[in-house]
Amino acid sequence: MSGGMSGRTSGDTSGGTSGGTSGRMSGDMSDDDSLTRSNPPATHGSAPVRERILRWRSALLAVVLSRGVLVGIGAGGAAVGLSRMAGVAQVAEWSFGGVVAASAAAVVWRRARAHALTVERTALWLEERAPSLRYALVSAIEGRTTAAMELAHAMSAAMWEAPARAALWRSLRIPAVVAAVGLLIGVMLPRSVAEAARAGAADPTAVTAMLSSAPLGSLTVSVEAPAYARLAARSNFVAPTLVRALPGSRVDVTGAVSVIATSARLDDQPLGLRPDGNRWRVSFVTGSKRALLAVARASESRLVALEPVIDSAPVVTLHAPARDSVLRAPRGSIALVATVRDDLGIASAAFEYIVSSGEGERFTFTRGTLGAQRSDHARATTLRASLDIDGLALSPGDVVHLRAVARDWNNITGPGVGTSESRAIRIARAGEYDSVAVDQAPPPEADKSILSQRMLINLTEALVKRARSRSRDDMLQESRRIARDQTRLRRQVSDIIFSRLGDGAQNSGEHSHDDGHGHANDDALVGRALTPEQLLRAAERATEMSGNPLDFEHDESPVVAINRPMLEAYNAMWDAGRSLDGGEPQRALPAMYRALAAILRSRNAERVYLRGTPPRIVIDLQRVRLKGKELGAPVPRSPRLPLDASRAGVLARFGNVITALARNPRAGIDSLIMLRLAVVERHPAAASALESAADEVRTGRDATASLLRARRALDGGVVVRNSLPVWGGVP
Amino acid sequence: MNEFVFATAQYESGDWDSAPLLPVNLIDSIARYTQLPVSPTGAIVPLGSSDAMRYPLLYLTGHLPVRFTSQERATLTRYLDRGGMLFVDDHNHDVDGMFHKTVTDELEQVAGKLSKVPTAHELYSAFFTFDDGPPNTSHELNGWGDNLIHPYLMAATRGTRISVLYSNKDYSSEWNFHPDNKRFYSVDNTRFGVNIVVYALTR
Repeated sequence: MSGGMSGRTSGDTSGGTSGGTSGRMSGDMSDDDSLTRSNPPATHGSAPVRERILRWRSALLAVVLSRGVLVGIGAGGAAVGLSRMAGVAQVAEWSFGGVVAASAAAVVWRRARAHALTVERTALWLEERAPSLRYALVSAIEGRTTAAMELAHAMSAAMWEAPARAALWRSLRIPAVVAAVGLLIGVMLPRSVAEAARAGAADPTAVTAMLSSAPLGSLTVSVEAPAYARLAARSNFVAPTLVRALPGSRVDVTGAVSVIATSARLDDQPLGLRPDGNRWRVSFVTGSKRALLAVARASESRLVALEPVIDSAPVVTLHAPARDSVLRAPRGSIALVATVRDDLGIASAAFEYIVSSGEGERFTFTRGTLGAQRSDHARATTLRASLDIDGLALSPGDVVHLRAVARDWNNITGPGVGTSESRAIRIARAGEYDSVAVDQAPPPEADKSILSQRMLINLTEALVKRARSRSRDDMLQESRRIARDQTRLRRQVSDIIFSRLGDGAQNSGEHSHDDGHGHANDDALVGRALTPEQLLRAAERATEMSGNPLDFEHDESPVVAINRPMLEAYNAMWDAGRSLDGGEPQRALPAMYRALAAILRSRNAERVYLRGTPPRIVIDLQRVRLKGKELGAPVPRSPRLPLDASRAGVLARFGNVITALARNPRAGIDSLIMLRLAVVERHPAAASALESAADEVRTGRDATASLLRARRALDGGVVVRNSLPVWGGVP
Repeated sequence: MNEFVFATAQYESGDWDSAPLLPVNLIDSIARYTQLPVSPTGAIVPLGSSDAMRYPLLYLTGHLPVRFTSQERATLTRYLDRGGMLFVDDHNHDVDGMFHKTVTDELEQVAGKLSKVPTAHELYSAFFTFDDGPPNTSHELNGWGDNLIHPYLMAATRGTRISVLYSNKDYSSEWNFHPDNKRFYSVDNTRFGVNIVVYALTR
């Protein structure tokens, strides 16, 4: 536009305009008669036409200015690009670009002679672009004659805007292209491309090849801990081989070179690199597992091991109550004190309790919390509360299980929950202190573990009914089988009587460790009945032997007072067993009834417990071996791997790493990093040594000592055992 | 060859000895059906003691809440890492009971998440074959406890091997009787216990 406009204006404004237009007008008016007729002459002469031209003059000025700006941008951008390729500093290149841009714009404006854009020149520009004006516009605004006035009327009706507007837009095209190219060169062209071009690799293929072959350079890793950790400072690592970060941390990795031909993967996941000036950058969030960041550029690669830092769960220590307790009555309160520590900050802490009520197979539970605290990232706190025993409405036999629990703020992999040791507070049962059981749990029933006296009576009664139809031998055999069960039950009763008397008592009681089938190691009492008096004397001796006199009431010793019903049962069982062993079940039944009645009296007294001494039963293996009715069919199996099977593989891998280090140190470093990741959980000492070795090799130091340390750790220390383990596991 | 010793884990909280006859009953069954050398009596081993390492299988049960001490947790972790197997049975037979809630919490801390053992698992064919998975107990069939029949056992594994076997089926009640009383059963209900032992010893 500038050339066209300036050329036209320079040649036509001197007087040729009027002559030209007047000459053109003379022949044109007759052809445009319809125009004249449809638009009657205006009383204002050429005033409306002039106003329209003035508006167009403003538009033309704006376009001239825009052309100047666009050309300036293009020229400035190109100048920046050129200066970048010339290797000047960044500030200088932008300054130079600015100067060139301003100059170019000034030249454009100067050549367009925008300051001389008169109404006549505007009219001339318009009539050149709008053929419908028939080159009469200038004449219409310049003339003072009646003909000129009429011509002005005719021009005021003419529609020249559309072609003129199109011409305006066309005039902006080239400057716009110039601006775009300049911007592309100046702003978008990375420094690395400029460097490549400056180095002489002018064609694009050569540029790309050069960028690809440029060294990867060092990596800078910046780690920002997750918000919950409230760790303000970012950690920066330059050229790291290992980065430790809390799960959920934001990691920014920055490279020293262009993004072109550079790629990065986090384990198997490709990462999207983005340009950052003349460098590349990638960001990601760490997970809770170890990962390997691999950055590659052409044939070069760099590995960075990412290792999660475990956010420890709070450490909770219960100071009070200090130990398990038994309360005689469910009254009062218990002070609770616990301390809590956490590495990053405690969120909440409380005491938890569970009350278990019931016995046998029927238990009910209630639970609750006490002394709950919320904490705003404190790293240590003390928890205090009071357990109101009255408020829990406990019954005898109930057990309160207590512990302190704390949680941290970890909202990524947590929250981490820390618990203290638990304490059990038991409410004693009525009469419990008369007996031996003061352990935490309620005692099992006396006759739970053996064929009951009632069952033996049923078997004997059935045998008596069948006696007439059975041979003497059959009946004798069956009767003796019941006798063996009766003997076993009798010995169980004996154990109950003497169980409170300790080891010394066991020597005095009927305490053969057999199964009741004639394979016992008989002691002094087996094979003969004791009178109640004899048994009581034995119990008294045992009481004295324990060296711990027991309470008693009235004139009875405690052994007698507590065990009298069981002693009656014991002797009745002796009588019954003797009759059964002699093949006289009918005679055995009265004694068996007496034994059952005595056992029931004893049970009702709630004074007999077996707690703490489970029945010691010895299986007669030879008697039962392969006597089962059912047949199993074991399926083939594969032997288990040795426990240290993985160690051999790791050692082989270590050998390969050493070989790689000797051949290609850079590849060896990568192998060291990968091996470190593989062994860090099972062999932390080896992992530490491998990490040191990688750093030493990377920085050109001697890594022999670290590698030896790693080798020793992977080999495992010498294990000295005094004997072979009982089974396949290593003790 | 060393003989197998059936060991009951003694933990500090709860009633670890709630099924005192189960060990001898299973010892009897092992002798009755297999030729495995087995000790005629069981052993009781504190869970916090390194003595636990001497036994390939530990049995743990109870009704009351289970809270392992830190020593017990550490020992159990080491025990499982070294190839031991822990068999835990809920004597309450109640998924809403405190034994279940607390012991599963503890086990998942020590051994990892418990997941269902499929009925085709080799545990069910290690010696006797149980096509339908774990055999039901009379406690389940009678509607005691949580009134549920649990079709699966749960387990945590080390590799492909079960390291912790967890049961809600109340085998502790089902098998807690004197072995001589097996003569009153038409089919021995402790056979699955043999499978557990054989699996622990051979897989």
